[in-house]
Amino acid sequence: MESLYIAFAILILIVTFLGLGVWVFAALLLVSTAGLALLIDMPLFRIGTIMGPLALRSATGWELSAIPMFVWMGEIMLRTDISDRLFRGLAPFTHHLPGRLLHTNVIGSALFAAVSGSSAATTTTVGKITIAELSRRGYSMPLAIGTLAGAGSLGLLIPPSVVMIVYGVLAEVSISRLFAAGVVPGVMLAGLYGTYVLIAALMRPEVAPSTEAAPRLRDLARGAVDLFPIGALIFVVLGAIYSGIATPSEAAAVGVVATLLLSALTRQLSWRAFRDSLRAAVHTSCMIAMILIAAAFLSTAMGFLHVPQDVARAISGLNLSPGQLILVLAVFYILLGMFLEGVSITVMSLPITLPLVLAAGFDPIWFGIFLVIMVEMAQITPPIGFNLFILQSLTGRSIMSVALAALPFFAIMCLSVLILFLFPTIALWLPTLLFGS
Amino acid sequence: MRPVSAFQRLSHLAGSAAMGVSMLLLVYMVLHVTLEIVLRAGFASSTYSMDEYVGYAVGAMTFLSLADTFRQRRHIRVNLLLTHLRGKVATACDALCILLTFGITAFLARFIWRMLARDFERGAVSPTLNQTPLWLVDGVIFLGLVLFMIQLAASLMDTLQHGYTAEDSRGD
Repeated sequence: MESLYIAFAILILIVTFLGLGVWVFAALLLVSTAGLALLIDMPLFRIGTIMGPLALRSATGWELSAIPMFVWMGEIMLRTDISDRLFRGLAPFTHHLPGRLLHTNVIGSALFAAVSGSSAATTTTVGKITIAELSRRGYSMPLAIGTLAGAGSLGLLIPPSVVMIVYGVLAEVSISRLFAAGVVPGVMLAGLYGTYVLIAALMRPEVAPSTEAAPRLRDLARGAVDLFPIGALIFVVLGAIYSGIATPSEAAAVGVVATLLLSALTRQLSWRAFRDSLRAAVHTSCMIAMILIAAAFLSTAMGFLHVPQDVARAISGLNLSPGQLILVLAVFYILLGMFLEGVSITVMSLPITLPLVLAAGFDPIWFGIFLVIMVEMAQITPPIGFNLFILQSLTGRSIMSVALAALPFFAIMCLSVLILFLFPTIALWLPTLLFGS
Repeated sequence: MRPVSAFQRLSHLAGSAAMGVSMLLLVYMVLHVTLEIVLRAGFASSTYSMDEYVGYAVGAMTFLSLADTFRQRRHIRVNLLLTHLRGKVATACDALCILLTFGITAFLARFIWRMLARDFERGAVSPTLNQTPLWLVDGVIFLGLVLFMIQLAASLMDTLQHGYTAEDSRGD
């Protein structure tokens, strides 16, 4: 039982430092150091000789380069008219569907997610144009905000995805397989959101008023032209990975070059846009990389404290069925997601949860997809949910009203986790098809 | 100019310069990886250094941008408690967070310095074809940590002078 007290003491330390407001990366380093020094009396000198080389090794892993490059790609697109084109391009195609332009939020986010690894970039890029347009045309704002909150988080599930890269590096599983595994669940989740909008619009037609004339063939053709740039980027990035020309990390560079070229060809690449996108990408990447470095040390410290093994042993002693285990983990991740963002959740929980699920016989690729959906939920659960913050700033509404609008989409994510648990093939079919079993 | 303002200005300038280098490093990463793909796909060749140098660039970019990222308040923190505190209590809590961060950074920097000195003394090089002197990598990371500590000191002075102010949050 002593080891469980140690796990509990670590939890208290994490809650104390994070609750106090210490920055996540520093809090993780402090927890690890305090844990080793106080709980197993490890001398500070020895802790330092472990921490120093580990920090250096974690910081200079080349596979991490995909994160700043994918983030930069999203930041460049954020400064172009891609969201405007997405809206203009999708509008004629959604006219005849119940819910009309509300579907542009879902389909637009799914398409943008296929070139961006970030949910914040997806929500901002799609939301900055659709929220204003939908509001002007008298659409239901709770539904507009909700679709954007839910679908914006598809940036994490539909490849490329920063969280998947982080998971792949930590869990030592193929990032190409993870990317492939995210496609079908991502499309399924987008389909579920779309179905919810259809049902809501059929039950209450006033949520999507008909203010536009029916599109002509010429409007559809113009829409297709507007969708061409994002289609080309999806083709280039995913094509580079699955044709074998580039690894997922290398494809990030291909994506940046293609996005820069596209922005230059459409005369949107100003020096200011280039510099600002670069600066924003470096800031975000620094934040993520520092959390990863600190998490590597936390993981090592937990190993010294035998926390993962002992917690795993204690949970094994409960004789939970695989379904019960996943249910417990889902509740655990939803609680974590209320207070932490995606990368922090992933890096802090994996040393404990991954051995548990592997021992229970789950496929690590499947678990990666489960985890990403959990992280997506974290984006829209108050009090800390980053998609909620973005939508709050885009709409000027209170965080609680935004969270309430997102609630049905949170329920849809829970449903998708259940479907994924019952039918794991949804996640595993495509990677098996592409790379073999 | 008062000493405190001069120190904060110096910290800002140093952090901005290091941030500029970080931005260049990101451009370098894109160029090197692109060159590698072109060489491999078009000429069945390689730069034979991508993993190593792009890895160093990621590390250097991360640590050199640490100070500016902090100054722009882009690191994630859970500010539930801070947003409910007012006046001197909020300022004291923010100052404590900065001090704790300073402490753990100084601890890490002390051991990076130890590695730097040892690698420099022994002339240690990377176990690759390029045999890169390791003290160069250690040195850049140590420099980033020192700049970060200077920024933390400047931020502490700012917090004590002007009190805690709510900051922007940003996610992935």
